[in-house]
Amino acid sequence: MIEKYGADTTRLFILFAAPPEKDIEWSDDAVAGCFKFLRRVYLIFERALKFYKKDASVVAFEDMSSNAKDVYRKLHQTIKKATDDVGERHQFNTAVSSFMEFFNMFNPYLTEIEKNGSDGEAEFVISESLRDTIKMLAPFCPHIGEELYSNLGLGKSVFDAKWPEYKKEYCVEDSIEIPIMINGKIRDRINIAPDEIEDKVKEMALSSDKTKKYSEGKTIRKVIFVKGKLVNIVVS
Amino acid sequence: MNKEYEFKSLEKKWQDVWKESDLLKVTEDKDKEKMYILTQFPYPSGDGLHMGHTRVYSIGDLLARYYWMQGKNVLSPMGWDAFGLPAENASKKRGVAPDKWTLANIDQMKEQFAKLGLVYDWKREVTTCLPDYYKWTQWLFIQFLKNDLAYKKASKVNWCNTCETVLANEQVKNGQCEYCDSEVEKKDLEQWFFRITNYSDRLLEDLDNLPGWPDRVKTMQANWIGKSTGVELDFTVKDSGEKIRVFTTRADTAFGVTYLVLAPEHPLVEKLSKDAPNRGEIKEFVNDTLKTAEFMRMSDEMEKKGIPLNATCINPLTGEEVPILIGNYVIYEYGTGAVMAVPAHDQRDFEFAKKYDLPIKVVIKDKDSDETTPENMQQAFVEKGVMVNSGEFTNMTSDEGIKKIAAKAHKEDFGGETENFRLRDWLISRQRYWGAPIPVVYCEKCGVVPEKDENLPVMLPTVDKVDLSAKGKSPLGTCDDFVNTTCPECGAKAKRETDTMDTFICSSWYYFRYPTGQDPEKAIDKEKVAYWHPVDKYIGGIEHAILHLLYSRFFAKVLKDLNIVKDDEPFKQLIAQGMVNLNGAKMSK
Ligand SMILES: [Zn+2]
Ligand SMILES: [Zn+2]
Repeated sequence: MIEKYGADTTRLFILFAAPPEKDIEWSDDAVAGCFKFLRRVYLIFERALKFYKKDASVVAFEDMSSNAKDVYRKLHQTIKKATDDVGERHQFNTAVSSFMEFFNMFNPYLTEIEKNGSDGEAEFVISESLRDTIKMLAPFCPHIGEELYSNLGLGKSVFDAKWPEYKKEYCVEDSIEIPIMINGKIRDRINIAPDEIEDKVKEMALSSDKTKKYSEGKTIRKVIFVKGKLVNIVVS
Repeated sequence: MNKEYEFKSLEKKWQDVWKESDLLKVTEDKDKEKMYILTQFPYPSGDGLHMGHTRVYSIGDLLARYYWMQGKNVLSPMGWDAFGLPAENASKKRGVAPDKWTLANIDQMKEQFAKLGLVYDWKREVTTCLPDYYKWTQWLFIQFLKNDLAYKKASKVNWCNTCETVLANEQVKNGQCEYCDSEVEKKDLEQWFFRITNYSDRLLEDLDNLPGWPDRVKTMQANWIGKSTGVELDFTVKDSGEKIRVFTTRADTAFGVTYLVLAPEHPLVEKLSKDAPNRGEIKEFVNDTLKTAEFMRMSDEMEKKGIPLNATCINPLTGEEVPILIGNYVIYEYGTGAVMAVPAHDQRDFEFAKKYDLPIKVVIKDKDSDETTPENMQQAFVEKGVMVNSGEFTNMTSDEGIKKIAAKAHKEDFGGETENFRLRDWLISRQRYWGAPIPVVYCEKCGVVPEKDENLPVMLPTVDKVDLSAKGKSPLGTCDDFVNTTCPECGAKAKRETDTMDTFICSSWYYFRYPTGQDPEKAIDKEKVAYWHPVDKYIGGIEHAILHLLYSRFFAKVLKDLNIVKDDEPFKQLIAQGMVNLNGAKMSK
């Protein structure tokens, strides 16, 4: 097993096959699949390295193009998932799935950049992606983890690095901004998911600091929600 | 052109780097949050790593590296559960010395660990068969002995007359010796025990403080400890006046007792069968039963058999006279070694009564029914209900009756409410060579004397000095240099104990040794252990859910009481992992 595919593949198979408490059924195909995934990651890194910048300048999430935003959001969702799965729930298999999903989205993005050329945004998204994914993969598959990290010029061992952190606001699927009005005047704006349920939006609107400020000492008569458009709070 | 994923050279390169790196090498750093990740240490067998090992150690290594990257101070040590029978058998079969065999296997497995990319702090390595470790196992035994937690008593063991040796339960197959197929007997031998039953209550109650343990493991432990609250009742043997104490959780059925069953080992059996006309049959029945392993006798598949003793006894509640029998399913070590039989309300008793044509008396009825005739019964009525035919207790509910009967028994001095545990004291002596010698000396003048601390370890003699196939006694007994010694107290000539310790003792405290490091001055460093303990994540197979974990919890509690450690629960969270199967069967390699 180790002879044929290596230690990283062996470890990945065993961690990916099932949650710890469940029995694993050995499958040559699944082992070969794990090897294929690691090779794919290796080759993607090889391709992506030419766009990698150790000190790529930060591009604000709001300013990203939609393709870049998708990849960057997926990256943060993957960090969130892996952090929960490994550190809290100890369900390692689902963490591995999320790595695979990430590379499924990253690969076409990379192909696109290879075709159309890179810019500051692409450099930032690719650099962040390479750095954070390899840090997450490293505890599972430490050899390839060290190897790929060593190409990033960030230090001599990936295990000297900190586990990546995610930003909650980057994890949410595309959100829309709607105004909160008090007696017909716009006083605040909130970000909500397009399909957010009415009660939740009203609750968010009422707990806004501005709402509290403008309704202080007054009685809330009515809260009106127009889906996808606005919240109006009637006070007197 | 792109490079290829050359995993072989790539993996070798980083394994060499980790050999020299500081990764996962730690000391007590009060400024950092600690994380103690423990994977069960393996038995260093000649087969090397199997896939089950690969799984457990991959999980441990993943967690260690993850928490390391989270900035935790991570202790992730490794060692070897190195005493045990396989080394002794390899020695018998192939003539290779157990220590050499074991250490060679350790080297091989270490290499396999490295090839899997596992990183440990080997400066903390624990090898239970080496004198620097078993010295402290012996020292701990002496602490148990000094605190009356270790004792010696005669115990029934499996004995093969042909091989002249004691056999473990697992070595008895269908009542026959694993080696020569001859019938196995029970024999009284002096054995060492640890008083784990002193801790029954705490071992049970403290399970509630372990939210990080899987429920099924806690249930298995609770069942193993097996606490039941019930009532003890004394039945008086007619004419002789001897008392037979029984334990029942259903005292409300006591008016329905139609016979009493003794375990074949019960001390009264001999006395009560002395003048019986069927004396010969009784003797045969007892011998046959004792050849069967206890766990077999308790299993549902075992046919329940009995034989009458020529004696009766008086039910303390009814004053009625009921016959006494011997039954193969009653175990002397459990409860009181005697049970009252209520065939109307216990299915096992019901079947037994039908088989041997014993009377059935109904004393409980369903609250909505008037059925009280035993003739119509197809099976026992085992539910609680309302008491009938029960004298002053008639018309009480079962629960009320249990309380009232317990109170009466207590007041009139024929029993009362009590707690009963299934857990027995831990038999720890083994008539084996490859184990830690029990460090006591027998002196004609002073009796049983523990070896002095400064004389520890009591060294295991090398295998060429002992006869491993020694018949009828521990192999260490064949080594005169080992046996003959002087009394640590009076200096007179004395003899050493020749039994060794159950290897479960070695693994009951190793997780205290890792934080202590390889300190030659003490078994356990209280302050260092206090920093690292409890173990945050304990990763291992579910097959250890009962014995190893229970014994470890017992050790931790004893050591806390002896002020050697501060925490009495060693493992905060258990990650019990499943097996690796190939085509549905457990995979070896
Ligand atoms: Zn035999
Ligand atoms: Zn003496």
